[in-house]
Amino acid sequence: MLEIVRPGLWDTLQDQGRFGYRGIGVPLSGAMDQEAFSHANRLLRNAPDAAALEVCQNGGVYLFKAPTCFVLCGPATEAVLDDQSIATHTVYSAKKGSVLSVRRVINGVYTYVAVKGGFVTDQKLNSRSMHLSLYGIQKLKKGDQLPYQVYEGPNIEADHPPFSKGQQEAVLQAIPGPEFHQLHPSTDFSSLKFTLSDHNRMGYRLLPSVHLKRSTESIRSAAVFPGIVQLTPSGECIVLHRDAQVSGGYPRILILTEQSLNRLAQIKKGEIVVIKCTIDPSFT
Amino acid sequence: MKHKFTIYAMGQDSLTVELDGIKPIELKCIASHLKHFFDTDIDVLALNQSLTLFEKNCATRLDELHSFLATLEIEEALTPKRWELPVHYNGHDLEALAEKLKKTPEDLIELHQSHTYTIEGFGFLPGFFYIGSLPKALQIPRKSTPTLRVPKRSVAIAGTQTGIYPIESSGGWYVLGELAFDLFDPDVQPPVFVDVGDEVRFKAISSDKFELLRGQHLKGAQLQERLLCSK
Repeated sequence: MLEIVRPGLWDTLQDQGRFGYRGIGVPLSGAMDQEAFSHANRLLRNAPDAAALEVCQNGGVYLFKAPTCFVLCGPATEAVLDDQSIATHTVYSAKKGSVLSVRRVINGVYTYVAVKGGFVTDQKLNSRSMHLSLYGIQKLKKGDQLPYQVYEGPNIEADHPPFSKGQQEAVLQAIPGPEFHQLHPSTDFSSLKFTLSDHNRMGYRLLPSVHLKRSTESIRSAAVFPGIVQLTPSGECIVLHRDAQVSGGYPRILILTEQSLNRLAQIKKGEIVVIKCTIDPSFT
Repeated sequence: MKHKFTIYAMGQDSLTVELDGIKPIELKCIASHLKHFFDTDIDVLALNQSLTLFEKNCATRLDELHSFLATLEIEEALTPKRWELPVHYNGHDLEALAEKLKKTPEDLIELHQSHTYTIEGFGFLPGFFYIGSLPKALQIPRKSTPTLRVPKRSVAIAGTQTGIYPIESSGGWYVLGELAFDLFDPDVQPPVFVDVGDEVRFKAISSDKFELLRGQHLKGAQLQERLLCSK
């Protein structure tokens, strides 16, 4: 078990997401930054869908109640294992009684704490990704226990190159959405600049640097999914993220690529985001 | 197919078929044909006379799907299932709504339970479905300011539709009452047993009956059997 001694700002358990239930309105969910999450499982030689602890901005204090190996994956993160500073993307052994303290994510938002074999909480609809509608809780709290298999084998040698986010400039790639034509033809969609004003696991609110003119204001409620960029009547853009509802009533002007959705997950409130839209639909 | 339709892709992994003037029961029928076409239990969302399917790289089959649907014959005589849903009409918006609609709460309840409705689509929340169409006298735009906490199992109306909140949520619909059972249960398969095209009747029950039914803790197949009507 991993015990939550003190929860972080928004600790949840996540995996690749919950597939096959959107027809009855169940969101996909899953790790906000799937790239960082996947890398954690690769480093530990876990199954790709092994569940990991997702930490948002400020992490908490966690007690290992059995031996295992673990890794921290994501942007640079200040963390301590039994009073020793530890690095991201490096596999460490934890003893029974080891205490991990994840202080803060430095140049991003989401970091993943993965253990050998993954956390083995009860699945709901074939996934361990936490969602209020299925588990009755939004985030982990003090005293919660995350079960995992004991692992006393040798420490796992990293056989993957270190993880790099590449360019630091937040340039996101998109293709036109079904209501792209509602954007005024004068819009320079090859490079739209926004400020990230607010975000959570459901969506990102982006304020455009220039007013986005459009023809009509709303559509009949229609299918949406993570990556869809909606244009609201007040001219803001909402980028839907992992916990987004399956339907929405705002024009769907753009669709971010999966890679850009992962990149967006690591952008902090107040930062500038550029979206470049290519018309070629084969782009993705 | 006699209905006009258009298909569009959103990225590589989803296709939406929009069908003008299609009935919900026909939508359900086409959804099952889509499963045959893709030869898998594909994830399909039925919503507002459209079907959106989610499947890795399905967008590459857009043209093929178009030809398939163009020649598809929908069965003429489709018989929908009918569910009778027991409701305790004690909702926190009942009195205020009755006043707005210039009716007594009793008339409002009678009006709501005396119609046969149809499930038109899914969306909004896990296990939430849209039930239409309300009689004209009950149609009202959604609240301008949503209620922050609409309780689980609330039976609520807005626009032309009724909805049942599967979980506590914020929402802008007027709450008429509470359903005696949970229709969404992630711990049983399938988590929702009603489908697009099914018919729905609401039946007013007393608070005693409501408590009795709540106490039965029916779920899954037993609950289906309890709610299914023989017409």
